[in-house]
Amino acid sequence: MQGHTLAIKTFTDWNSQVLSNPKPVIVDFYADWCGPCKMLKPKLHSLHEQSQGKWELAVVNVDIEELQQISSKYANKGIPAVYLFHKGQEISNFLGNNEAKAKEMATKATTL
Amino acid sequence: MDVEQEYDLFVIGGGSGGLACAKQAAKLGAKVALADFVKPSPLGTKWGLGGTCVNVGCIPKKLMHFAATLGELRHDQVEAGWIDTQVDSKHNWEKMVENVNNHIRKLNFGYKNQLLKEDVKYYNKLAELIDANTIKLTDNKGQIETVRAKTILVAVGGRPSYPDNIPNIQNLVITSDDLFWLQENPGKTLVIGASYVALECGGFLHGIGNEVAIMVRSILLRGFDQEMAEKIGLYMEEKGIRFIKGSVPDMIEATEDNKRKVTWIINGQKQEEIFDTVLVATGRVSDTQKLNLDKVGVKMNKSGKILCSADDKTSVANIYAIGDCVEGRPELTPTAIKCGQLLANRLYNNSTELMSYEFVATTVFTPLEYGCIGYSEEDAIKKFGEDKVTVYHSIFKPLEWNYFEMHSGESCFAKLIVLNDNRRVIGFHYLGPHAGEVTQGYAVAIKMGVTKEQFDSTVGIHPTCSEELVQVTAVKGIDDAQKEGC
Repeated sequence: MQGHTLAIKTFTDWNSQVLSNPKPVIVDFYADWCGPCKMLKPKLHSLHEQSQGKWELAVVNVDIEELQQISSKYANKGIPAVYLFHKGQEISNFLGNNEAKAKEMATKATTL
Repeated sequence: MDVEQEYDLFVIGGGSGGLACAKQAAKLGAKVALADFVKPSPLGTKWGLGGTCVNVGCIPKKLMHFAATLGELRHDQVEAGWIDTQVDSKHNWEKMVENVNNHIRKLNFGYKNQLLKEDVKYYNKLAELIDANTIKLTDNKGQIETVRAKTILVAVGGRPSYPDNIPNIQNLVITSDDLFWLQENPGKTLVIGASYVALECGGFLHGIGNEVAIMVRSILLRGFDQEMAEKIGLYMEEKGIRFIKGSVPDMIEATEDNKRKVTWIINGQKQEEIFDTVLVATGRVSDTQKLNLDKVGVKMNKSGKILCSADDKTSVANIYAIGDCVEGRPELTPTAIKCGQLLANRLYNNSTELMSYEFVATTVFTPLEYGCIGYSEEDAIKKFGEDKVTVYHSIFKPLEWNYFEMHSGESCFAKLIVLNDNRRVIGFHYLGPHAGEVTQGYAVAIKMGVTKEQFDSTVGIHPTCSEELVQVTAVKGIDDAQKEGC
């Protein structure tokens, strides 16, 4: 069973596990109190399970104090905010519980 | 004390006024910081950034009021033809409160983002003044930090006050600080107070199916037009809300099963009753006690409200104050916001514009809503003289109320107060559905000095409730407010 999710908790986590990750990383900015986030999460997990290890899935809880600067940079238009990173670069992103866009992003991630 | 940071503006309080001023000041180039810290209520309730309105005021109130009105609409739905509507189905408090709380947390998040975006440094710490330029900040772990600022803005708002005649009352009752975060339905509730907070909360609790009694010492909605206030109370009574009039509680005790036994005296007779919850809404007090304002020289009145001039300056040259914590200001979000923005413009953009509190429109979200602008009938008569004003009035029934026969044909009411000399409409009063939406547009006209004749020459939108206001001809004292026929 692959793909455990990377739970980003600190600034260091962000740098090492997202920006410096050799594999593409799909990052899910979410909050415990956000309904659409709850709906999107299992869809991302499922896509990750089917990805055959081609990309990583990271999650960032926007209520974590230490990550405020990062959260507000990427999640300032709302959540769930999902970003595809590769080699420290932002490739694409989408906002909201959008299954079609999630699939699109997952497909893109496997080609990188 | 290691003082590291220096700001142009330090704002104490992250509510409507504080946030608006901080953001505007930062937009204008000032180096701004804001400290917001919620002291938990006596029962331990706390919340995030945004102040009273967002967390324990306007926002949750309106959402819960809306939830209650949706329940009433079930009867109309049936008569309008919808099948399978269950007029007696129960309300799920937990579901409502979860959705309300989630929305509030979303707003808290949004405000944090806005501050970050505008480069306002946000301290989630309790602020206290050390001197006119130095602020002590304490976090929830007790750690202390000190900062300096050229200008300080106090925008700390207020908190609910408690009657002082009942021992241990703070642990026995809830206030609006707690109501919107209760994880369980409060059940059979006694509301103590006659403020709009009391009536709005009592109103929606009843609307979602709770047994509600409201204990009032004397009149309802002190300061508001009393004819309107009485009609609001009458409508609530007709809906089944019990008013205990002319009383204050004598004693409140916890029972063995954690209910509340309340004792009061009416006509010399002692009455007592058991309630699940007692909600106190007898007033609010300015939250200035622990700021050290006295020592720094900021003058306040007896109840802790800061004394400011029209330009929001306190008795200390570089310290300003806005919002609920200032004497003489309406306790409203939009006025605090505007005041904060104008203050920032004066401080950092050479503006001279002062905040005007004339003809500010408001709405009370009681079960039958009440929107008003300008003078109450009493205030108009007191200021100008009874023979100098003409009052126009009208009883009406919303068209949509004709499906369900139990809707009253006499509850909705509109009133205009007109100054005879120049025919200016100086008082607008609307009691009926969607009062906030109806009233807002008229505020523009009234601020511009609209006359009764201009009202009359305006064609109404039909069929609406609002058109009543441009069609009212009946004069109080001469004509009946009730129309005959169509």
